[in-house]
Amino acid sequence: MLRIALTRSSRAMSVASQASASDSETSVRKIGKALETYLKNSQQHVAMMEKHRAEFETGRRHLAKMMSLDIHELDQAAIDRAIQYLFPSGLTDPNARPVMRPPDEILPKFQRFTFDEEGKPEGTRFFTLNPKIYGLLSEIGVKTQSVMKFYDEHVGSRSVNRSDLEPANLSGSQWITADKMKKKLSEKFTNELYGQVIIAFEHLASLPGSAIEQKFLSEFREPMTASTGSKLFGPAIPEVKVCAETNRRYAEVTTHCKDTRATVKVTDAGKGTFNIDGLQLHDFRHLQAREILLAPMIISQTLGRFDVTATTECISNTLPEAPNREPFKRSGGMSALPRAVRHGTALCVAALHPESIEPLRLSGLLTLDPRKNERSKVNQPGARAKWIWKRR
Amino acid sequence: MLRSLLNSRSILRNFRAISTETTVAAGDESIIDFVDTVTESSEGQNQSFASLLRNSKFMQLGDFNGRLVVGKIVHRIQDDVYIDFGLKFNAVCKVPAANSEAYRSGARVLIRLLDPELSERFLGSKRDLTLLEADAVLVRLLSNVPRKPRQKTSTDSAAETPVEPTKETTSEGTASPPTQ
Amino acid sequence: MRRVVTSAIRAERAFSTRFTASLQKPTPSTSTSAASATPDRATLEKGTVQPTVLKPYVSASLQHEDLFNFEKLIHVDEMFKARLHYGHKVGTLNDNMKWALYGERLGVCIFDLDVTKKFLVRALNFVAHVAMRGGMILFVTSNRDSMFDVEKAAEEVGQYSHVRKWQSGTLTNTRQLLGASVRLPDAVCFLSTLTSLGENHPAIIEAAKMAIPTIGVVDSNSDPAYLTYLVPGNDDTPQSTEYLMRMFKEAVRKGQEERKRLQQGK
Repeated sequence: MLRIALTRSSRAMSVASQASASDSETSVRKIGKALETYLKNSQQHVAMMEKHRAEFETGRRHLAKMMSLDIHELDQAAIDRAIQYLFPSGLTDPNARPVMRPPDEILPKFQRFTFDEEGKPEGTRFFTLNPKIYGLLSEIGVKTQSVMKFYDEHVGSRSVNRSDLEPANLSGSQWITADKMKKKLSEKFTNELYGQVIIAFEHLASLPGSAIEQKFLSEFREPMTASTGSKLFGPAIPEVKVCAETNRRYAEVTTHCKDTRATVKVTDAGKGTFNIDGLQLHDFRHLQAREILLAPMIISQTLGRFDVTATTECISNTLPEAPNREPFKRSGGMSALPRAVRHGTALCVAALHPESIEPLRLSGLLTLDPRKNERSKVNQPGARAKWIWKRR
Repeated sequence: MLRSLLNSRSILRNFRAISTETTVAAGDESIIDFVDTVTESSEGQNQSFASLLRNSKFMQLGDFNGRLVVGKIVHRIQDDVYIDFGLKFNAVCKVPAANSEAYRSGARVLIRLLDPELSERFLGSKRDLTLLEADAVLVRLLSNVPRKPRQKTSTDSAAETPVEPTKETTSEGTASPPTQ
Repeated sequence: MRRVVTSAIRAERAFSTRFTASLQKPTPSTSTSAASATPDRATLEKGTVQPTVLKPYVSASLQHEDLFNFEKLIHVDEMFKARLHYGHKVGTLNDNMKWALYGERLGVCIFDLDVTKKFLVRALNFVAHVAMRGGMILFVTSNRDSMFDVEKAAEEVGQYSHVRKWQSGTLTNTRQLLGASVRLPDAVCFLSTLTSLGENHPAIIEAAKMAIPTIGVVDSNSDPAYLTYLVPGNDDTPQSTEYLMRMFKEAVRKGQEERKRLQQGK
């Protein structure tokens, strides 16, 4: 049983009797068992953190010595580099790799409550377990009631501004996200509770007369501009630049498809020419390649307007893992290379010709194709293929 | 489902109520004003509960079904008004289309009480299931929301309360025939 | 009577059994002889079954029926005006609530406010005693109409309120839920014991498990089981909840004033 049986208060009450007066003085320090446990845990946590901080500091000094760096030069970035060098890890999950960070960052936090001297927790809604968010819900509820009352009392009368009887003007903004609300209230809560809060907010904002609570509502709104523009998978639409010599607008982007990396530069006010590693459009003999290359211009209906210049390379040649492998002579074939160029061209066209962003996006040309050649497995002839198995 | 059942029942009653409306319109003496009794200060501080109950409007009301009572709108959500008429539960009524703006919280309305608590027993259950609201039909608006609350309410109570007892002495059943 | 003594003893045990000698009021002659002594083992064992035998060992202030004089504060006509006497329809009646009824009128249950008054005085006396000893009181309701009023009233007297969805284990499993063990409320006061679905509030069982005394406003359809102090009356109308909350607030205030007075007198 975790209840606090004795508080100082009950002693204070009992001092009326002489017999217990001395008793209460001797044990005036005694506090509730729960509070005692809490304080003990808290002290343990502080001591543990202190120990880890000291260990981290010694470790940092040793590391500086090992890397022959000055201790003052060894900031967190330098530590990360040193750890990566000293403990090379092939693990793909970043969380699985060795790290060295200050203990305050990585060790679990100890939840602190505020108590008064009798061990009573602070805040009238403490036992709801989510006092802040429920407090906000109650605040919204009370404001909803007051707004309804205000409207009922003043509708039709001339004593208040006409604008005060309108719903609050919240155009151009949206409710702050759950994460931001958590940060704002400094409390964790479930998505369900966040949904309840948003429903309560929406109801309050929809009421006529909620304009009087405009200030309160706008505390929990954020401008909508921050989140407009759907995120693209892969590289973003590049910025438009102007060539200093020819005074023509151009955009440049690097993208990839399969093993081919393409750096594409599209120049406005051109003649529709292609220059891909020195090859022109008619050098691609296969019709499929030509169609792929022309697709962005067909979709955006800008055939003959843009000049495309692209250079391609083989990604696996640039990787450090295969030093002894014979480098490939060229990148991509009749499909992968044009597709890499097409993605880059589409992005640049979207930058130079913003009206065509939506059709390009809908036709999927702005999305990166992330597929890669599957690695072959040990003891197998290929990625999935198996050697023929015979009993004997 | 319960709601829809009860709704259909109340609609039926609604028809009946409307049919008798013309007969009742003349006899306003059948109105029982609960809200006023509840808010008015009682004279006898040491009255026993039995005598309080005996002399209360609740007992004078008699059979609930079809009584006309005065209520106060306490809450309005879109087209639903919650009317407090001095019993345990509020009555929930739909606002009529005509002059709907006047039915705001604070306004006094006349309602025809059907049931002080909507409850129904379902097959297999030992006890009734209650909806925690009263069943009533909104008849008409009595007075608007007071603009200046102080003066209006005082005149209201002064004008209405003395008349109340005489109204109640007329026997209910004869003054306005029950709706069925 | 027995209920009062049981809980009084429980409360006294919870706070302090060692200060039985601290008598502020003139003691009844029966208890003076035994007051200084602590009960022997046999008496204590007997007390687990029949708590009344421990009554002589309890301090005089707890033996007083109405230490804070709530009898004068509560008027039947005020309760009547607050509509405390209206019950639900007879069909919803819980058999265990029949004792508090005056009767039924055309299918509507009517509470006997004289009974309600007696029980309300007991409950308020208990609340005031808890407040006097610096206890924490948690006000719980699941009624959506009165939840803001209950929260506000609890905040005004520096007590706790819970008017939201009850997460199971709030009282029984604080260590897991909060990450640390905390002091639990010393009394839980239910302004309505039923949830909106007509089920018993889950906190009733949790409080009983943790041996926390409870005060419950029970309507004619509520289940009075597991509640320590009952207040039979209307729990649905905002007016009645407001009246009861005013009374509970007054009781807490009285207890706190008494506490302040005692601390200064020291």
